Order: sequence, then C-alpha cells, then structure tokens
Amino acid sequence: MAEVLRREVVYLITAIVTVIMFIEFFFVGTWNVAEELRTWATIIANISLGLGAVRLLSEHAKNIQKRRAGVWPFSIWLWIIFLITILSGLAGYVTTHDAMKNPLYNWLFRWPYTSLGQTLYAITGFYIFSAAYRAFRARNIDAALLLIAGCFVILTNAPIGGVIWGGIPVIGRWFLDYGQAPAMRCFLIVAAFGMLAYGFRALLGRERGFYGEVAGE
Amino acid sequence: MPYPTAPADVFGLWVAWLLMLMIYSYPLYKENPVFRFAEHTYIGVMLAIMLVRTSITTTINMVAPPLMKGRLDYIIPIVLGFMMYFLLSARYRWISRYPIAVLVGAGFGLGMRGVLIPNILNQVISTITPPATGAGAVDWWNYIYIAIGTICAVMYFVLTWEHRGAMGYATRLGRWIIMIGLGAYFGNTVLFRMAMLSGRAQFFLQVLKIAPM
Repeated sequence: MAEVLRREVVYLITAIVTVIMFIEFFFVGTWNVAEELRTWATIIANISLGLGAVRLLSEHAKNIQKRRAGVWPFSIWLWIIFLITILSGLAGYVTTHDAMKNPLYNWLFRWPYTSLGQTLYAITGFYIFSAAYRAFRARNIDAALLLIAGCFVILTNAPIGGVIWGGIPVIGRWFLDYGQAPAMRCFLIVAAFGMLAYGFRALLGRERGFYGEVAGE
Repeated sequence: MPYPTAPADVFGLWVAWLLMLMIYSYPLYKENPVFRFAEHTYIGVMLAIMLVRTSITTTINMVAPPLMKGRLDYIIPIVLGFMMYFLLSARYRWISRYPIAVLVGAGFGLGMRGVLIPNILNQVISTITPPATGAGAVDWWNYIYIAIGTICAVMYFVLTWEHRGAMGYATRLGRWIIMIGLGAYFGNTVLFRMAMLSGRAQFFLQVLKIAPM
C-alpha cells in the first residue's frame, strides 16, 4: 500500500492534472476546473519557493556553526542582511499592505538589489569576447558560416560596420530578418515535438526524474 | 533619472556604485573577500525580496480572498505547498512527490497545448505560404531559402534514419542553415551583453558626474 501511495498515486495525479490542462484547450473559458488547478499550481509554486531559501540559509547556518575558514563571516553577513530585508519588507506589508512603502525595504530594493542584479547580469560581458573568440574560429565550413553570420550581425548593429562598407548593414539585416529564420523556426518545431513526446512520457509514468526518485528508494 | 538629492538616495547611489566595483573586482582581478562580500549581500537581499514578493505577499493575496469567502478548498494548495518541504527529510521525501505531481502535470498540460498552434501549426503555415502575387525575385529567393532551410534543418534532428545518401546531403545543408542561425543569434548575444556592460560603465561615470544622468 505504501508503495502504491509513493509511486502509482503520484503518477496518476500527474496524468489527471495533465489531461485536465490539455482538455481545457478545447473548452477555453468554459471550464473552471483547469483555471482553479492553475491557481493551485501557482500557490504551490509560490510556497515552494521558500524551500530554496530554507536550504540556502541552513547551509550558511552550518558554515557559522562549524566556523568554516574564510566563509563563516560572509555567512553571518548574509544572515544579517537577509533578516534586515525580510523584516523590513514584512513590516511594510503588515502596516500598509505594500512592502515597498517601508523606507528601508524600498532603499534596499532600489539601490543594492537593483544595482547588483544589473551588475551581475552584465558580468558576462567580460567573458563573451573570449567565448566569441573560441566560437568564431573558422576551422571548418560549419564554423566559418557561424563566423560570417556572427560578424555581419555584430558589424550591422555597431555603427562602425556601415562606415567600413555600406553593404555590411544590408547583408547583416538579411541575416537577422531571413538568414536565421529557418534555424529558429526549426528549433521551435523540434522543441515542440520534444515537449509533446516528453509530456506523453510523463503522462504514462515513464518519465520520473522530476519526482526526485533515487534508485532503490 | 536625475541625479538624486535626498541624502538617503545619494548614499544609496554610492553604495550601488561601490557594490558594482566590488563585483567587478572578480573578473578584473580574481576572487577576493570584497567580491564575496558583495556577492553575499546580493544573495541575502535577493532571497528576502523574493520571499516577501512571491512566497509571502503574493500567496496571501491569492489565498486570503477566497478563504474569506468560505472557499475552504483553497486549504488544499496551501497544504500541498508545505508538503514540498518534506524534500528536506530523507525519510519522508516521498510526500513531496504529491505537490510535484500537480506542478509537473500543470506544466506539461499547459506546455503541450501551448506548443500545438504557435510552435507547430503556425510555423509550418509560415514556411509553406508563398509570397503574395507580384512579389519580386528577392522575396521568392527568401521564401525558397526559408522553406528549404527549415525542412533540411528539421531533418537534421530526425535520428531514426542514418544520415547517408540523399538524407545525408539534406542534413548537411540543414546543419549549415543551423550554423547561420546560431551565428546570427550569437552575434546578437555578444552585442546585448556588451550593451549591458556599457550600461554599467555609463553608471560608473554618471555617479562620478562625468557623464550626465
């Protein structure tokens, strides 16, 4: 019985929810069950997000507890800044129903959070040229085509391209408008078929990796 | 955004500027305590903001109104959500499979129905629809290139037949088409990342009042 609860019932729930969501496609706007299930899934996902926080914070608590060399002072700082941010946000939400109305939370959101987010996202700019150097090496026809298309697109979007030769923006625009269209269209079609195949495998209980099943469990 | 005048904002601007330099000390020098400080600051603040905005406030806003109206069925997703936390227990980990089952089912159901028309049907229609009457040679060339290119590129992913003979020629052409597409895409990515980085460089100068804000 325990085995049935651990496996078969779980696969059955996945299959039922998948079918309900899929069938709604043919009755859009008239079937509330799927709409309710979507809301449920969003609520579950939102609550589950805290799991990552719990896991991360417990790891940092362990660092502090074990005084892990070179790490634990940063773990203390992470805990402090986390507590300051979450308490100020909750204070704002409890008092005004809007966390952003708390001045401290607003300040933390506006300056450290936004700026660091942009900075970390832009950090790849430092590495993209070395990646481009490795990708854009014409070792064979495939790589040469990659190089040609990439260079034309880069030079088209950079003002210097048109200055070097007036034809560069024309060719670059062709690559952007038509040259890349078949590949992108192919990716969409192939990914869609992959999604359908993967979905049917999950529906039949053949795809189980996402349940976190461990061999012998 | 004009240069801030309120003391808290001026202080925030300089904090943001310093944190940015701390982060860039990693690619420009090597991993160091200053970088780790900024990194941990971001993780702590981001984690708290994510919890406040998504896990706590959004969930309360979604759950409270129906519960207040007597919709007790909304207790089920709350219970399911907290069942996910059994992932932390080796013994009771299997309980977390129930909320995962709902999430996976909803995801696959929505994904499967979502790809049918836009990703398959519309793409095939766009590929086989010829240019309108009176179209020029360039339009016809583009149409033929996209149609043949798409078919050959899709054939490259057909793995149930060996890529030999006529199939081999078609898949080789398909691979070239894919390379052209990836090259254009990568070129765009390079430019986008550089634009992001130049935005940060601009911020660096703006805070120092060298460039206008």
